[in-house]
Amino acid sequence: MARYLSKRVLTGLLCVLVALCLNFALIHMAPGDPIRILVGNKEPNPELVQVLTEKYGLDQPALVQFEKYIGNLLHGDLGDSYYTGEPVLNIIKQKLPLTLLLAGSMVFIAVIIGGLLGVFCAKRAGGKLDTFLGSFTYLFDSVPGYWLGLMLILLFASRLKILPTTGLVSIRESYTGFAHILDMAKHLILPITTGVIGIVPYYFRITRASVIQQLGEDFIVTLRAAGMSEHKIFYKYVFRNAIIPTVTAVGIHLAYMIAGSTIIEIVFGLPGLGSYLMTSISRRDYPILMGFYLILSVSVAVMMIVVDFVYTLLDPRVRHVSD
Amino acid sequence: MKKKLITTMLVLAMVAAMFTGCGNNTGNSTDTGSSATAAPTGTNAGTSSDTTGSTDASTGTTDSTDNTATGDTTGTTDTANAAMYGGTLVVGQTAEPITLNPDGTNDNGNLFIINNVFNKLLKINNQSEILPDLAQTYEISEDGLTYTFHLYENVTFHDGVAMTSDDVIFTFDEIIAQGGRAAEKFNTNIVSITATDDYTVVFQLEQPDASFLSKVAYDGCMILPRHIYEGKDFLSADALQDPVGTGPFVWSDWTKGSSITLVKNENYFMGPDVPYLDKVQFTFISDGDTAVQAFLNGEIDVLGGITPTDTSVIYDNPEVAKDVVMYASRFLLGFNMNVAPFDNLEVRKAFAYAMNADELISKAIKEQGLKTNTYISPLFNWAVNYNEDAATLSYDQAKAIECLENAGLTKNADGYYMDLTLDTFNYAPFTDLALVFQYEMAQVGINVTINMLEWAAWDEKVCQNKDYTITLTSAYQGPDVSALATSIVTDQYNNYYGYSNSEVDQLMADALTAKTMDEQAAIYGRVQEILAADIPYVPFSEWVGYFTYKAYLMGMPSSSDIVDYCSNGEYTYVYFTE
Repeated sequence: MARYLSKRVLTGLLCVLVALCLNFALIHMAPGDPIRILVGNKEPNPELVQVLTEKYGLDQPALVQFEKYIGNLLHGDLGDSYYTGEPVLNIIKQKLPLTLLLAGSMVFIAVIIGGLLGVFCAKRAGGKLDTFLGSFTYLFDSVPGYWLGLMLILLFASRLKILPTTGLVSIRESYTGFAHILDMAKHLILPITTGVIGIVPYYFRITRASVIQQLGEDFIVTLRAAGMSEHKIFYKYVFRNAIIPTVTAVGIHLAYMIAGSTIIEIVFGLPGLGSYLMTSISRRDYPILMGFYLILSVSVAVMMIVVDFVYTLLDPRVRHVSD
Repeated sequence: MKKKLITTMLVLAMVAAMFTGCGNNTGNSTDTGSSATAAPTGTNAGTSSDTTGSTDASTGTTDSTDNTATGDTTGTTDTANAAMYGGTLVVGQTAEPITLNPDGTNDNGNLFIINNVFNKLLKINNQSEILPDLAQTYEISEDGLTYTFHLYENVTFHDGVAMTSDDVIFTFDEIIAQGGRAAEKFNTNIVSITATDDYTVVFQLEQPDASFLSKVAYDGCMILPRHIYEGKDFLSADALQDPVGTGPFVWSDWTKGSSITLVKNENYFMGPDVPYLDKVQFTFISDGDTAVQAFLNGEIDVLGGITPTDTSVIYDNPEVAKDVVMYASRFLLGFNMNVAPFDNLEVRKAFAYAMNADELISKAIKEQGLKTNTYISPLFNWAVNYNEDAATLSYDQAKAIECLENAGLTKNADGYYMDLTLDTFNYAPFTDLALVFQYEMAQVGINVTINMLEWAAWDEKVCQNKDYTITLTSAYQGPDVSALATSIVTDQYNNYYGYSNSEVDQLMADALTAKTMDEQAAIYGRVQEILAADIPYVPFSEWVGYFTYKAYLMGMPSSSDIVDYCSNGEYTYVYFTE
């Protein structure tokens, strides 16, 4: 088991390293000079451009820059933003919690709703309700998050006036304590709902398909023939096996949603990692971009390892092979 | 199982009901437009701003009082309403500041914010007119080489330290020495900046510069406190994160990614009546459509410079006021004259004839556009040559085809005289502009492939590498007419057309040293005739901006009753009427 996990950790590290190289190459290959953008387009002052280019080491060959970056990274230094001069690590520390909260809540709620609906429909596969819910999830699946977000704003904020439009807290009021938390929660209802509607179909389909598949297995027929109750068969055998694909999906999705919540953060004016990433791309703020992408690749790698670990707990066959 | 389903649905219904309950509270809490502390005083913005009226701002040569599109204020703007002290003004804007050094780099995100924290010697309003700011009066010597500014004597920085001519000298020295955004405007022509006393600053120029006042009044010349900024890195000093100026509002708080709060400067030198507001809060909403909804829902009071996709949603609303402001920015088609066939005048003429400005505006730019056929913005009316020989060519498809054939071009197998790529921006209105343009060119046998780029990529390809054939863009032509030089004089930084005409170079230099506006107008008139003949680019629309705010606000900087006292985005005279 320990060998299996350490092997997975090593593979994860290798993946992160490859991602780091690719990120560096792609970011630096993209057209647009960060110093030109920093100095401003109207009156580019050649001397200032030169001073800043040297200050940030952008006059050096790409390989030297990469070497320096890796060196600093090994010392826990992700560099400073070209624009604000703030350490990238500090910016990530400020922005990541909100994005994690968004991504985590969205995936958590979507798993519960999608999972419940999936199980419900799988048990009635082919029925009217199954067909109806199935079509309905396809509809939600094809709705763009940007449009859906605006529609929810129009309905709940503009028309019904029961929820706020934008931001993480009320602009005009300064709440403290529990009222502050409640205020934040109200501001997060629409963004999270937008995200949840977008990913519920995914979990619905996965759960439904795997439950249907498990229900058709020979051993289930055998258990039924042996007189075991449907309730026991479902919870002890069907559900446990059917949940494995969902766990995989959750792991990957959580990491993916950190970047995927960008549109939601932009539409709802939330100061998370995603919206800051978009701004940093247009500014070509290399240290921020490298830092953010590093976080993304690390989170994907970590989630994959966690998923593998959970597999070993859920599926004895995996545990057996890993041993 | 059915029981479980019913139970689950009941739980879901309860959760939904709970959320709805929370929502009702939100509706109430955010619906508080003006502050409870507001109290009528009987003073209105017009009278309080009399204090700035003593200086005749039109002394300078950038007089542009006869402009064409300002002050279209709709909604309730009854100046008879008594001014109300207090309240928090919430301004929505899409961009967050990058840095807070007002003189450092070009940053659209901090512009409106720092206009409320700092002051300049002179300032420019929404009609491109020069107004007094920290300099109460100024004099220009006969030979046009000496500019003397007399400062207000009661000005203090937000930390209580008096502002004197020493701070003015420090500011301009720093801008030049550290390469601030305005450095290029000053570093070659200023011989010395000296103080004759604590409140008098003298700028000695090497050559007369008719645009000097507008340079001093334009962005990047905010007066910085020497005692705080001396010896600090111009771009990234910590002090810049907590800026100290002399402006109507004091820096208070920055919640990154969310909002910036300024509070009233109780010792503002134009006081004690102003500013009326207790606080100004800038909130950042990167999505324009969401900002519009937040505005309509009462969460923000001012839709700072954001033009909605569907204007009828806003402007048919009686609770909304809008001011229309024309900028010195212009939409244009630029040619790379160093690349064939655009080195051929006939080809450039063909494009000019083939462009239907009416269609480009009505289908793509919409309310943000106003058709133009002059090479100088009508904001500088005194300098515009309205004669036919100085105008752009009028839309005429037959003439366009004739020009293409005069240039020796023949149709290829696909029926086109030429295939080329248009470089433009990947955001509105350029995305739509490119499509309409593509259609118009196809009508005369030009096959256009559209290449949409984000700004940084466009800048590198078009401005720096000049690796393009034609581009649709918008170019700023201010703060005064002389700035036109940057895009038409040989090898200047905005001249990505590769245009070079020695007569134009000489005329633009002569215009700077001309002593009267009539002399300058004659020179610029000739320049426009040459541009109309050479066609390095084709301007086809002005850029019109909308300042949208709730009708319960008075004294907005863009409104016609206050525009003579305020710089762009300055909230000194704003107050709530309810």
